[in-house]
Amino acid sequence: MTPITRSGLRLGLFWLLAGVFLAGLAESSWLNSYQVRPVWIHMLVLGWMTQWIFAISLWMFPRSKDGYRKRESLRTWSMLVCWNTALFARVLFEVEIVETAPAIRQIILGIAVLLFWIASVLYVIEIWPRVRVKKKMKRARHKGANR
Amino acid sequence: MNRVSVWMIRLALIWFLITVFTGGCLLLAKAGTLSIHLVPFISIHITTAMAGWMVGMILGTGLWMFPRSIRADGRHVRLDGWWQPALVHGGTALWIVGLLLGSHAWIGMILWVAGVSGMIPIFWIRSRKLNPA
Repeated sequence: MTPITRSGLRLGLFWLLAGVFLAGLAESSWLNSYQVRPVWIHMLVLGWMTQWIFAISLWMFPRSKDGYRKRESLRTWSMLVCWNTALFARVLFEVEIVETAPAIRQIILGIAVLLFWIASVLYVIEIWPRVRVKKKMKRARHKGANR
Repeated sequence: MNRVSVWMIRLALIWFLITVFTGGCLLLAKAGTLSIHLVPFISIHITTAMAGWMVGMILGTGLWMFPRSIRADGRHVRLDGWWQPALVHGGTALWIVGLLLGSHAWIGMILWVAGVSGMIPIFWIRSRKLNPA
């Protein structure tokens, strides 16, 4: 398993634990469950499920150029950092866990949205060429052997 | 990777981009930065996320990874074709169009359910105990 996959899976486990914990708290009388619901749902869906899909696809899908390269690119690390930073900002500021002026909240959530978009585009750019028909892989390997 | 899985996963990636875009718009609206009519956006966001992205990605990857079933005569059991993935993604697209138009979203939903139901026998047969020989 590559370092990026390990990091993605472990961050996913952190979000799973945090999401389940918050869901439990939301059901108690300590928090406003209606207000907190989108936060824990996104912790589970974006933090755990989607991040596990990212991590496992980066590990399993065949690599494009040199098939045996084990190190991940800067792009995939940036993707992981952007995704988790955005989610963290969202969790803190979506329901005003941290009290701030509305203008600052708008800016932080705007940055979070931008980071989500950047991360998702980076993921698609990374994974798209790796989703391909097997015949092309064989041809590419054959060409490499002939060089 | 087989051709059906490739297209299923690629279409799921497109749904993923749409999901993140609509989700971002919703968050901006919640923060008060953007003014949009939230109700259809929420439905589109949830439908693309669950029906298009998650289901498409998981079923597409499963089609690639699960071992193919082989009959006693050594031939592959061929249940998988193009119609199930086409119904899953086409159904999702029609479902979204219906949500945007505000009517007939059920047509897309039924097609999507038919596509997912059509894939269940494939995975049922292919999820089996490995032959010890």
